[in-house]
Amino acid sequence: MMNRAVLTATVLAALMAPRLSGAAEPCIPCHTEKTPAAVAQWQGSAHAKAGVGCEKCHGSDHDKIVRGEAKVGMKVCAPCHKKAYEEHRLSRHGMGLHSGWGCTRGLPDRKKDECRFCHQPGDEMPRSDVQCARFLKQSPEMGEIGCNYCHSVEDACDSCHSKHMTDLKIVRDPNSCAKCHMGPDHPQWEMWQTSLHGTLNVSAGAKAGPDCQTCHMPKGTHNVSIGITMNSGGVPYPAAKAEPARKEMLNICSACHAPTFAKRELERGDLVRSQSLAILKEAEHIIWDLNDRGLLDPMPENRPPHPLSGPRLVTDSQMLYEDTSHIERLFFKMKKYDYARTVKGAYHQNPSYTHWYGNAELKMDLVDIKSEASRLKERGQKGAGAKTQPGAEDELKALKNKFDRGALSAEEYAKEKGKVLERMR
Amino acid sequence: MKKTLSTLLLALAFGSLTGCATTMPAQVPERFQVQEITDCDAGSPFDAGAKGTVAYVEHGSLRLVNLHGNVKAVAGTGVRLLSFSPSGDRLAVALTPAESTVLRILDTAGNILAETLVEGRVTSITWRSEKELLAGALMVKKFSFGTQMASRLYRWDGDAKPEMTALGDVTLRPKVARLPEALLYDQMIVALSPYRDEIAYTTVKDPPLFNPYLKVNIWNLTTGSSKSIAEAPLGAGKVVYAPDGESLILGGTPGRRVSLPAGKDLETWNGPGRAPSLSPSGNYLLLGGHLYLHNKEIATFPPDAKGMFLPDGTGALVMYKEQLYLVSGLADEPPPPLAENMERTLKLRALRSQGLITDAEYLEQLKKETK
Repeated sequence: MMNRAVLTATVLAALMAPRLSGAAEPCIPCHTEKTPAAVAQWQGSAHAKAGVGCEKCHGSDHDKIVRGEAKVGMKVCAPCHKKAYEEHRLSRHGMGLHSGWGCTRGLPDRKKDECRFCHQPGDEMPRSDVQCARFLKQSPEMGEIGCNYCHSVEDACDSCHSKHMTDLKIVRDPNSCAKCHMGPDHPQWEMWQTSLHGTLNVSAGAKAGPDCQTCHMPKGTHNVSIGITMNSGGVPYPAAKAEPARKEMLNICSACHAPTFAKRELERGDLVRSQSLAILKEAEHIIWDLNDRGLLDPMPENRPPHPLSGPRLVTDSQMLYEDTSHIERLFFKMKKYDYARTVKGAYHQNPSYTHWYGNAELKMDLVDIKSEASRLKERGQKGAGAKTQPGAEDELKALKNKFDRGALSAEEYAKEKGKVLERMR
Repeated sequence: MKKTLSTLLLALAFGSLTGCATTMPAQVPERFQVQEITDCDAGSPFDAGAKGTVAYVEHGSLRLVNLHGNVKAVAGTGVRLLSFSPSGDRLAVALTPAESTVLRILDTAGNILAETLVEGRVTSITWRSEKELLAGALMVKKFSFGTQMASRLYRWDGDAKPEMTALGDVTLRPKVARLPEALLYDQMIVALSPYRDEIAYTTVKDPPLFNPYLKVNIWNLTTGSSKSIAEAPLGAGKVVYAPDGESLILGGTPGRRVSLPAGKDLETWNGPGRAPSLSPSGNYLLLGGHLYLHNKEIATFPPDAKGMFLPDGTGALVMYKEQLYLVSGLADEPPPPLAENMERTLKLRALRSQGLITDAEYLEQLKKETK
């Protein structure tokens, strides 16, 4: 009996050994010397154990690999990891590259294969129409490190999982999220780390204190957007989209908390968000009013055109932090940093981020913006004194700009014009 | 109306003037007199000043005469265009040596007061005031694929270098660029609004799959706002303002009046006509050899006769072949008053030109002004 068992084991080992070594056999001898870390990581991975060798992911065209043209994109992983792939594509991570890139069709340094990041083969329409003006302003080097290292998550499993290791311990560590989810614009990692959730996680373990994955990737889903009720810029989703998402998040919170408690806390976050949005809108209104009056310095028509919108004022998610007026730069900080910190701080239960890094800065930004607007208006009035144009003309121009961008209805526009014309008499 | 006219075939004697006698076939009312005042070069420019001086070209030389045919002065050669200032004290002339144009200002004795050279071929000159001359010009560049034609406006005070404003740019297909000059350069003929704040002019358009045509444009001299208001056939490049400044008369087939600034057709005249001319009151219209009074035809001249009304409205100068005639006996009226409060009206017109107020709002404000 014993001999039979030994024989069986020997036969199995003999069958397995060629398969394992054959999977990577042509590469291993050289790469043990050239890229020892990659070989060692692969040897310890689940891929090696399952017989998935180099060629399976990298292909057999060595020249192509050397030229950097055989990058292991998500579609290489998809056939084996179908569920994860589908979930990922449904999530905000699944559009990470679109949100980081604009269409590079018009750029001189465009790479031949870039189209595939946004377009399915033979499809002229991109998977998503999200583009990023800030990316388009970058140098290729800056764009690669400063943008694509994070935004390539759309098409790269290794963005979180690392390249050759498959140990889930790596991706279950919140530090793997921190690579991108930190810093001035969306410091979720810092917020979590210094919240009660993060403190308990460190001191009492994952069962007492949840981490990123606990709430945003429940049950191991790759749809990281579950339960989120606003877009990445902090603009609330319409009710039809927000309500189901809120139910999902309540389910997640209710794994530890009483549902009523969780609901109350999330609704408190909603209120902080709407209050913050009102402050933000007030500032945005001031800037558009200055633009209507031709008082931005410089005006959009007198500076390099916006990559996507041309010589127009842009204050939406495509706003820039370069080639703008000073007051727009203040607004950029207010919107992209301080509004985001306030709102995300509230949902992450972090008092300091919600108040001091967020709300207080948001309100001080508004003070700065109002002050800068006063200065620009005062300067505009001094300038107008030297001009031959009457004040009425400037007022009518501002009204026309407001009407053209939909800030005034036809009735309001006619009424306001009538007032100006009466003052002219 | 024609029945009421007496047919007058004028065999004009030129006893008081020199040169060969020719006749101008015309049908005019009995109360009109048609008198030849001088010989001139066929197709050459002529103008009448407010002080009774007539400028014309004979044997290539510019001549200044009074309405009785007495020559006052002879000044210069090569004159292609001429225009008296509003007072009649100054005469602007344009001489086109080649790809540039000499603009010259003379007094009524023919003395040169100022001169400058501008790029391009000047196709019209008109005075905005005693101190500002406007000139429409075309810059032409030939390429293998077509001809670029740029429209320019020059503003000259007779002292400093003329200010240039680019008003348009078009590339003509080779076959269009080969059209006769009389057609091709019959554009950028600047008409000045009675308010003197706006010009109207035509520019050629050459769409790839259609025949070329003229666009009729207005451009506010104060605000720089422009608008295309109508289209006209090639050859109908001259437009004139109605005395109230609120409509334009266009040549073409048929001639028509369009509203400003909307460009809506207000009325048309039977038959083709080009180079319209309006009397100071606007009551008389000369269009394609037809003289209309309150839109009723009262006289006819040869279709190729060119005419203009005297500044006082008492008559018209008509050029036919190589003679210049004075048609007198017109009973014109003074032009209608423009505005009670000119300063405010000009401001409102400037606002309207920029689209800051609508035409309805403009008219409403004017109505309030007169209450």
